[in-house]
Amino acid sequence: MDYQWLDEDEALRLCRSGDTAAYAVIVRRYQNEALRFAYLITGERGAAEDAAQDAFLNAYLNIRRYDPQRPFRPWLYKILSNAALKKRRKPQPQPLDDNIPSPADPHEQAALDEQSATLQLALAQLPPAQRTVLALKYYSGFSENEIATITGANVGTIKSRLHYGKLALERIIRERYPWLADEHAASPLTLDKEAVK
Amino acid sequence: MNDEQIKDSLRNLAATAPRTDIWPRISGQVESQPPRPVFWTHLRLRPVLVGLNVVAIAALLFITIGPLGLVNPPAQRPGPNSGIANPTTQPAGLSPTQANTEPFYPVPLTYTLVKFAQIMAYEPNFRLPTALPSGYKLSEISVSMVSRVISGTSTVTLTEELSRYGWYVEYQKNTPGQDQQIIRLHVSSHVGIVRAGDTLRRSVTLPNPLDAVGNPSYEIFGGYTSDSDRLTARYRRADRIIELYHDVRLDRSQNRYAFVYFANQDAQHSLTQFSIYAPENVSDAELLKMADSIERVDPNHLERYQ
Repeated sequence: MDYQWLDEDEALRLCRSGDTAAYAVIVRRYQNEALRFAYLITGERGAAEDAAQDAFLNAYLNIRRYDPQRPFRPWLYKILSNAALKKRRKPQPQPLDDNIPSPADPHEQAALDEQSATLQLALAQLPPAQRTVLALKYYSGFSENEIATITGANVGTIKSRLHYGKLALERIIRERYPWLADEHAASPLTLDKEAVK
Repeated sequence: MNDEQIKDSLRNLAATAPRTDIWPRISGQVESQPPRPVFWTHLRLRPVLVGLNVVAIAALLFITIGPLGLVNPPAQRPGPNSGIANPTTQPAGLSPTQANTEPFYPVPLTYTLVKFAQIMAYEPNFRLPTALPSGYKLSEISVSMVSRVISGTSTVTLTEELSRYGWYVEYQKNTPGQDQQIIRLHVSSHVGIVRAGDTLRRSVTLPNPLDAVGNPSYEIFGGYTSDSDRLTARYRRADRIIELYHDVRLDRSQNRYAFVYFANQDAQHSLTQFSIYAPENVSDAELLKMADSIERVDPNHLERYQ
């Protein structure tokens, strides 16, 4: 059998009967996005790899619990998000470090990098539930209903976590990097780099 | 802050994620274990089966925890001729008295390392460093599969279900008033070599597998991946190759990691990779010293590794 051209439904059907070559197709189809999602949750490369590894192994062992009438990706993400949260370390408070350039930095490109890094740092400080929901929504592109299925929370809770997650991001930036908060109010955070030049 | 700003930031973050081929890391376990059967096809059966699961878990705990020492029968501890260090030879700070004050989790750190050494007795890649950066102590032993906390005095995880596809240890440094610092050492035993550009990824064997490390004619797969742009030094020793990397974290702080490769006799899995991830206040010299000190664990001198 030529597994290279196997479609997902057929691969999953073969997986349920223990066809490991078919599962290799599934793993390689999803591993990059799984690693990226896990990295967003854990913030550590090693932990992201461990989480993805655990998730794919658990998904295989429990593949017969997967309902083929439903999409596979949310089911995989349910396992993946649990694995990533388990691997995620408690965030350690970050000092107002010297690595972030002063707001008086004259180079606009450096300011762009600074803004991006600041938002990344703020994301890393969110509670796991909020960060997971933000990642599922804004990175992985799941709908609120799908996120509810993945996380086991109801849709109202998901809406609430999204809302408060965004507020928390703004609060962290306002409290820790007030000069950036002012800039956010005046202009979008993600500036068009071409326009800056 | 609008949705597009958040999307862009998450995309930027995700772009720095590792690009690891997961399949070689799990293929052995997948191939050795068929998917689990589904026991409850009818909802009304589920409570009964959950109840049975509880009984099964209790039995499993009795079987596994008992020999680990939670009920602590002295007769089950390794004897003097077992080749395993006696748990009473523990370091200062973890006295038997301390252990006994916690009736449910009376397992001292040395006992868990002893147990791990027992499990790994015939594993040629059971190696640990002896030279730790100042202030760091062994705090956790775990494998990639199911693990559980068995000590309340120090957080130590251990599992009977030893995965041959990776295990790790952690070393903690606790300084009052400062964040806890952690060094993590992960061991990937099944690292293979393929020729660069071989799309079929057929494992190759070399007289000395270490010759493949850093050689552009070969690719190494199955272990942790690195960003070659971050490689700062490569050291060739008689029995290992050490690579030092400087990385940049999400918060822009710099951390260091090292890969240490040892040659295996296994033709399919030619190398064992030890990856050591250290905080930024661990110097290159300390990390290199730690990498150089990795040795085959001597079960009679486990205190060397703590």
